[in-house]
Amino acid sequence: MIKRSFIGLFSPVLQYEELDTSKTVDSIKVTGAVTFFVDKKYSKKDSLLIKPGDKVKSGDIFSVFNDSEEMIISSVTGEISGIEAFSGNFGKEYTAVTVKTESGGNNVNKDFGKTLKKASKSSLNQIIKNFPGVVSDTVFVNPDKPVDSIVITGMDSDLLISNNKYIVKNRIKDIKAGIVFIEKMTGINSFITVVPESLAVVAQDIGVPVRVVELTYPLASPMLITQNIMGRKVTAGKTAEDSGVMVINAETVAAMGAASVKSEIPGSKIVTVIDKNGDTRLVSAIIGTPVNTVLSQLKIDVNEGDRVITGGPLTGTAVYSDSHPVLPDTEAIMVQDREDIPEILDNSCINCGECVRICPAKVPVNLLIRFLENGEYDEAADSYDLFSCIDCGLCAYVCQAQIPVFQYITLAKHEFTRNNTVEAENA
Amino acid sequence: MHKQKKYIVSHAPFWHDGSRLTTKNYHIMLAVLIALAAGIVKYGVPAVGVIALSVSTAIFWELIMNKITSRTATIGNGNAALTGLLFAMMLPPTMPWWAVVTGTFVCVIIGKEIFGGLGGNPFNPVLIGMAILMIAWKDLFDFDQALINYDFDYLVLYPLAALKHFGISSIESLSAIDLLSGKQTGAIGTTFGFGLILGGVYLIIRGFVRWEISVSYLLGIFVTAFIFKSADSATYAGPVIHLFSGYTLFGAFFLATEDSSSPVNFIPMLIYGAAIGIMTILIRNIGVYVDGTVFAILLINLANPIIDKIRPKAMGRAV
Repeated sequence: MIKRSFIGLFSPVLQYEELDTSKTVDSIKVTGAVTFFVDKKYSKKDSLLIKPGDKVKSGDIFSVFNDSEEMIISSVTGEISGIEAFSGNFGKEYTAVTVKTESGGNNVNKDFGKTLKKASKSSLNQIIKNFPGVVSDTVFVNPDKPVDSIVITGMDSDLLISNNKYIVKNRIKDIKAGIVFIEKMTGINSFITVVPESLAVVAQDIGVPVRVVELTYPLASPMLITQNIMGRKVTAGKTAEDSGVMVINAETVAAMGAASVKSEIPGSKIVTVIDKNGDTRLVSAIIGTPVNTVLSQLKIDVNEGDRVITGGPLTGTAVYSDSHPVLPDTEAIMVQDREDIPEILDNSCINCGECVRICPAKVPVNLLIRFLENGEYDEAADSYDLFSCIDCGLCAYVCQAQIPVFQYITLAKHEFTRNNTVEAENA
Repeated sequence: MHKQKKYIVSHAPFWHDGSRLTTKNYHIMLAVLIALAAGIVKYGVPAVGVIALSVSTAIFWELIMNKITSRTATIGNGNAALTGLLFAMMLPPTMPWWAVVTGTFVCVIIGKEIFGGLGGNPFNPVLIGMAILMIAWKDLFDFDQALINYDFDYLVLYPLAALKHFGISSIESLSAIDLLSGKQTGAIGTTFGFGLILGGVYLIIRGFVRWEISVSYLLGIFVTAFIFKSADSATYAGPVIHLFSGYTLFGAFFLATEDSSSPVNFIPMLIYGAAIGIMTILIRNIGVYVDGTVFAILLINLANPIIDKIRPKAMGRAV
């Protein structure tokens, strides 16, 4: 954990991780079952297209619900062993489909590449949601969002993570093939690559314009790339796609390329594992592998009262169970010792201004927090720039009063959106 | 089935830079120690008495208020002690005990707690206490009178009072070095300028107070005093006297910079500091009070929310 420096005259600057080329990437062996999440609430009354006992092959693409387009790409060969409801943060509901792997299951779907190329635009959208590294839920085929440029990012979303940098360094060919695939499927032909300085030369081989991003957190956030690198006007409360820019991880592009050219099944994900000492290593894990399988194979002990996080130190999500699976967007698995967990207090804001000085989106956090603490979400959104926030977490990182500022902001965005949706429905 | 381990789940971020309110408050107390020690050496045991009573009663009042409002005790964060300490430093060493106790009551309860505790106070709590005492018992703050029984080896003079009552000729003998080394009368902790500057610079480097406010405040004093001096050098004292006497240095580093009552944006901090500086000199030169620092800071505290509206446009906002 990076602490405040002795000289506190200026705001602290956090740096993204550089790629450590000396480290090798180990593969995590999957044993037992894997779990896939479908972004839809499950109830017993739903009519399903699959049932426990069904056999699936690695690379099979299947729908779960009769009345919904949601699809899964199985990353393993085995037998469906369970379909159940799963509740995420903020009341988000998922359907968890568990597949029990079979020993010696080398039987894979060899036609994956063909299926992908033949897929209609709408089903392609659903299929690609299962690709490693996908973070946007709109992916790129969305009639409402007029995307005209695609940014392939070799940067990562949080500190300590170096997945995309690793991909840019090692999978140039796949990225090139991925660009061809995207161009064919969407008709968009404006691509650029953003990489850290250290990868600028390597990235030239991709064959599209390369732009360098400083390693200062959070300059690689899609909104800041859209504004600073692409020179687009961004709008508070909207996404980068609304400004016409789709920021897509190098890992996803490489997976698309490998799938379309080599018929390689996009079933594994590069994950940065951060242990209790803050040491990192890259592993390749099958999507759906439980977090505890990853941790036990790396011999990382987790004890009662520790914290297990999917994602990085500033923006990740703490999970309450170590059987949580590695999902397509799980960039990192981080374990924090119980002794290292920062304390959160119920102090009032003392107006020191540290958050205001560090905020990359220039949100008046000191004023905003006063409205958020009192549940005045409309006022916060209208006058105090709630939706300009790009969710970097720096305000809570520097808060002297130890207020969980980022949590207040997330809650406010959620509540505001929910209230306005309910109002719109009743209108 | 194995027993499920329980993990701590909370919202991101999972890192914190380790800064604490407590650290900040204790460091500010640490920074005033040099000036405080000089004051104790100069005024002896009575000063120690005032300081001890002020700090302890400030903590006591906050604890009482915590109990009454059924909140968790906040005295551990050091803010009550800091309020008491800063308050004591602004008093003459001969302050009667009842005035000290009343003063800390006003500081802590009226200045801070009734607004909801630390962070809710629109004014600097120390100055609320000071202002009430200065208005209610004006004579207690006549430093020359208060220190009549002391025997110093230098000219016993409270420069600002002398200036006000006897004109500029009475303070001509004072040099900047004398003033900075504490060869003037005044409150317990505010006469040793070198100590205050050292403490203030330490706090600025560590990031506990903002340089923008301190620097613009001192500049505001300097420029305004200089203009007055240029306009009529027979009536008004120059910048040196104003910078190094009274509560100026103490105010610049320890009072105007109080978080809750000061702005957070860059330009507003400059305006805020400069406005206090200008107001201080206006009160000293034109107003009836000997030292304008206390009222100037309080007055500009009041304008703080409006000044702080000057802020950069947030990302992605149309207006």
